Amino acid sequence: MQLKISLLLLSLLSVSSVIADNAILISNAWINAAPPTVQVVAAYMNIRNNSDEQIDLISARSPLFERIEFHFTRIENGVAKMQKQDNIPIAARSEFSFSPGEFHLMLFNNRKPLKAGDMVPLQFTFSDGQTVTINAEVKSANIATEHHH
Amino acid sequence: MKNRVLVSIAIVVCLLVLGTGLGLFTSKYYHTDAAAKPEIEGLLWPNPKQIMPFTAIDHKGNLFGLEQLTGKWSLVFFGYTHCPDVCPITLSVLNQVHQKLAEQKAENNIQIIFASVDPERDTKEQLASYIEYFNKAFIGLGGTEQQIASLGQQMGIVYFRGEKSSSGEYVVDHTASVFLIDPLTRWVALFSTPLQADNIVNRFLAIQDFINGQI
Repeated sequence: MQLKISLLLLSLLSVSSVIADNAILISNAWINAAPPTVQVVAAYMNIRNNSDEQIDLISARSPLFERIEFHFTRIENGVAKMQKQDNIPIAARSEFSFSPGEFHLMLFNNRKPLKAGDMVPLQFTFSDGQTVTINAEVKSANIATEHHH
Repeated sequence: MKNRVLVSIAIVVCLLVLGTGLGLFTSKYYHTDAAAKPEIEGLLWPNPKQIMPFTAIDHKGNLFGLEQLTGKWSLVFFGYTHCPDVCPITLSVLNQVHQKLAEQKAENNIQIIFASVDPERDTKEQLASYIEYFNKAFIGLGGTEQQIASLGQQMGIVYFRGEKSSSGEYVVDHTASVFLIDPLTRWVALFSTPLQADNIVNRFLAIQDFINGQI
C-alpha cells in the first residue's frame, strides 16, 4: 500500500516536472510560402514564457535552412527598415509574438524546395539552457492574413 | 459731356459684369473645392501630381511606360523579391484587394504593379516567377536602377541597400506604401501601412467615384 502511494507520488512528481520543463511554449508557428526562386522566407509564431523569470530566445536553427536570424520591421516615415535582433527577451509570465510586419524569423537558403503544407522542424535555444523543437507549417499568407480578421 | 457720361456708364457696367463674374467664379470654385472634396484618407486632391514619361521593363520583357498607365487605375507597390516580411504580406493584401474588387465587378480597369528596387537580383525571370506566384494578372516592373528610379522618384520612393553578408545576401529598406495612379496618369492617392484589404477597397472605390465625377 505504502509502495503504491509512493509510486503515485512519484508519478505525480514526474508529471509536475514535465510541466515545469515547459516554461516555454511555442504555438501557431508557420512559414510564409514563397515561390521556389526565393531564398529568404519569414516565419511567425507565439512564444509563451510561463516561468517567473525573463527568458531570452538566443538562437534558432533548422536542418532545412542554412541559417535563421531574428528581425524586426520598423516603418519610419513610410519606409520599411529591417533591424536584426541578436536575441529576443521574453518577459516572465508573458507571451511574445512574431507576426507579419513586426518581429519575424528570417530563414535563409532552404536546402530543398518547400511548398504549402510542408512541415519544417525548427529548433530554438533559450538563455536558461533549454532547447525547444517544433514543426512549422508552410502556409500561403493569403490564407493566413484572412484568418487573422 | 454726353460721351463722358456714356463712358462712365460703360465702365460701371463692365465693372459690374466683371465683378459678378468674378464673384460667381470664386464662389463656384470655393464651393466645389470645399464641398466636393471627400474626406478620404490618403487622397491627394486638389492638384494631384501628373506622372511624367518614364521607361521600365515588365516581367515579360516588354517596355512599360506612361502609355501602359494611361486609361487604367494602377495600384503600385515598390519592393524586392528577396524581402521576406513586408513584400509578400503586401502582395497578399493586394491579392485580396484584387479578389474583392473582382467580386464587385470593379477590377476590369485596374492593374496591380510590383516594382523592384533590387535590379541586381530581380531579373525578368525572377520577377516573373515571383509575381505569377501571387497573381498571374499582376505586373512585375524591373529594368535598370535608372529605369525604376524614373518612375519611383516621381512619387518620392526611397530605398537603401544594406551591407552584403559573407554569403552575399543583403536587405533593402524601402518605401512600404501603396500608390494609386488614375487613368489620366495622375498620382491621386497614397495608402500607408498598416495595409488592410477592406480598407483599401473602400477608399479606392470612394476615390474612383469622386474622380470619375470630376472628369
